[in-house]
Amino acid sequence: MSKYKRRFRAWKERARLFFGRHQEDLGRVDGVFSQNPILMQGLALAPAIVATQSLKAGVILSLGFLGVVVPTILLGSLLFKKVDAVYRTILTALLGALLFVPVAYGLSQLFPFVSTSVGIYLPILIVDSIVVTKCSSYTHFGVDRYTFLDLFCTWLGFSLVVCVVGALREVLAYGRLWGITLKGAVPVSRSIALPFFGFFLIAVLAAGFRFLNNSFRHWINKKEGK
Amino acid sequence: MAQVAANMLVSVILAIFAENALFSRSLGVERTLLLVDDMGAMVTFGCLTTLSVTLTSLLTYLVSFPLRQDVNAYIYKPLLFILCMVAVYFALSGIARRIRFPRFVKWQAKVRPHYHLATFNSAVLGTLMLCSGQVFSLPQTVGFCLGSGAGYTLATLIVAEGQRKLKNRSVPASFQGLPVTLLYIGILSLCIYGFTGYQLSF
Repeated sequence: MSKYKRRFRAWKERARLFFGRHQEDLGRVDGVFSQNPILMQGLALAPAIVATQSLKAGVILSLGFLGVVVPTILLGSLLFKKVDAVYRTILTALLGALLFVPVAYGLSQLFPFVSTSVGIYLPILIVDSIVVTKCSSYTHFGVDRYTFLDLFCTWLGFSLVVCVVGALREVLAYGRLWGITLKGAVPVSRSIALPFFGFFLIAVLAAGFRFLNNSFRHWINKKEGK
Repeated sequence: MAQVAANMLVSVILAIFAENALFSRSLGVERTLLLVDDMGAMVTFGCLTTLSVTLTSLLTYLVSFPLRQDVNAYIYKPLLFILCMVAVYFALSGIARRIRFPRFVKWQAKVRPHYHLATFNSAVLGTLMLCSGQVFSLPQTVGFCLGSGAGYTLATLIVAEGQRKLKNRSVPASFQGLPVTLLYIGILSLCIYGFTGYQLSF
């Protein structure tokens, strides 16, 4: 076996042992990959499927998620910890709607055509199932410093998916990125911007993520010598 | 009167088929995927969503009427609409608590865990925002919301039946669950697009 192959194998084994020893730490940043809210948990699907028709729309959704959903989940878990689940859902919806006002105003100053870029899919993040799910989880397990990391990773996972999907669909449907026509890019079909393609794209990405996640878990947990 | 009824009927049919909340706009798809294994819960959830969105549409029409010319309406509408949803939720809960028929009380105990989720979800808020954005009249608003709820319920039943059939097929491990269900919904969405032939506004 050549020297480089031996070195590569040794490096791969060291990496496998490293990830195997730090699985608990990896679990804290699960929100980006193995617990991605859109592709693995099936939350916040509607904006990702329909509204991601351009990279700009993806960025608007990502900023809206950071400004509305993340504080709503955090404040909802802290303030409404002792409240019944039914009333907690109602109170978090009201809290999210209150937070939406300044965030939407700020976004409309940065991006003048917010309501046409993302339409109803920014406001519906307020009552999306991700808010209910995460609030229930944090009130049950408590809020600590890892909650902030988990929320940040959830936001990062959401943003990655909506921005990548938005960019891909804008290039394939219109041959441009961020409104700028790309030289050499030939638009495939405008129907790529339609909801049905969003369903197909998210389904394929979700299957890909699952395959990679299962392969990674299998690799770091395999017994030595096999 | 006949004109009003006709407008309402057209809105209902449009909302059930051509502008289906689930297949054309992906509203409420997360809740559908969570309930897809329990047919009874899905029908209950769909019926409660239909009731919530139809009754709330009466309030939201009144609330959004003065905001039609306001350029900042997009910013305030979610807050106002959620306040309307809260009002309708508590009004219906209050009325339901006063009805003492034993069968109704038993049914209400079964339905109570779903009611708050059926009222505060993306299908309801999304439909209400669509109606106000498209500047419908009152009969059109009520008809569209009623049709959206009914169309959503019908769509979830179709997805459940498809999911049942897919479970018996040899689907690759990576595609089992969420991916294959999304592919199935995507194919149905493509059929609806073939039927309508145009992109819906949102």
